[in-house]
Amino acid sequence: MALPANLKTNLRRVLRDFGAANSIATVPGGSGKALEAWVYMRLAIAARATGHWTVSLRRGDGTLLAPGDIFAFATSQSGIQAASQASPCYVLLEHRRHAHKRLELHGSLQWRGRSNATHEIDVSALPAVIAEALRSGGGGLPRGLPVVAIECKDKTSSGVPDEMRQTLARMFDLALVTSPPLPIPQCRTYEDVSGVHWGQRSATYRDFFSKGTFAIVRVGLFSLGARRIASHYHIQRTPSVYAPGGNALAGLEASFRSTLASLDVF
Amino acid sequence: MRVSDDVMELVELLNEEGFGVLAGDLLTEISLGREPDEHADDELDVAVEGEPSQRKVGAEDTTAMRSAIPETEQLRAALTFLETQLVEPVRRLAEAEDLAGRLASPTDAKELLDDADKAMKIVFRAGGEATEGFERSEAPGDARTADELLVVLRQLASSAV
Repeated sequence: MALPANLKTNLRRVLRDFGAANSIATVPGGSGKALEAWVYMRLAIAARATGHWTVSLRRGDGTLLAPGDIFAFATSQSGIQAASQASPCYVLLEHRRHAHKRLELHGSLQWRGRSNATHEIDVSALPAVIAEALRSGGGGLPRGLPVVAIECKDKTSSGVPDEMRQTLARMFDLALVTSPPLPIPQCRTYEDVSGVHWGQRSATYRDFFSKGTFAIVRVGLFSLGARRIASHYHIQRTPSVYAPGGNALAGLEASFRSTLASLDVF
Repeated sequence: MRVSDDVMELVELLNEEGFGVLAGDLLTEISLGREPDEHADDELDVAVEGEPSQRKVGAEDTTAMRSAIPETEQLRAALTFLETQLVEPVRRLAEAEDLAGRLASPTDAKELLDDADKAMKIVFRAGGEATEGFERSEAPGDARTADELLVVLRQLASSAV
């Protein structure tokens, strides 16, 4: 059956307006970046809504963004960039009572694994002390396991085991179950030029993965095998993220709040 | 599986209007068939070895478990796909701009609900360079064109009943 002519004409007109206003919807990868930006800001709001955290938007040089400014979201960044207004923006989380509890939330940040391979993570959080050491030292890649690591998949197809294995492989390569090279002591995350480090080393991978928020957010669903891997290794699944009702991210936000509340055990 | 005439018409229209990548994805999506429900495989929990074509329900990779979409239902499936790939990403980005605006406002959490009209524009940047083609020209927080598109997609879906 053919499309009704009047609706087809209308669709063509609306698509032109839509494409002109939202070129992000017409370029490959654009819809995925929109999803990342949404998840990113939802987590930042979730932190602020606890009332325990001061959440601020920062330029790439660390200065505060004010209402009316523009937030430059990273589509890829080779580690924390040198302090510069041209560098991507980020979110700074500061605990209101415990000054040592400070985190940065970044988009599309590359981390370096034990293998020396790099791993880009769509949304990740790291201790601000590590990010600031890298930023002031001209930039570089953080090492260790993020406090938060979230992959965003804008595909409508089901997530298969291989996709979950990729996420798990990144986590394995990042987790410091073996100590970093001296003189850096056992830790969770570090910056290797100045030797700044943060957190405790866990004895097993699963123990590491249980402390933090690790997740895959998908437009589609997850297959059985992917669900099994995720459950065993504490990787949160957020399927059907565009489902009506607006609660699709509730579990992820709860996990993030729980992670923020338990930073003392890291 | 044969793709219906109305979906092929939609694919052609998308391509003509500059959504060629999406047109290809839509054709693939409809051709592959319908995804099973996420827990459809829970009771058949044993992976079946063998070539993909020989796998049965319960195989861990659901790629082979998709079922053909009857031609009379393909247009609705196609329109739902377009909602997830066009309408929702733009709406979520507009929401992200709204949330960013709230975060840039005073830090009292109680004000979060009262500060909805100060959205902050989000641009995309790879390292120090703006990412070409990723801009939105609508006002920050505004998803008017996505809302209009959704109306037309829903009208088309109604016409397919």
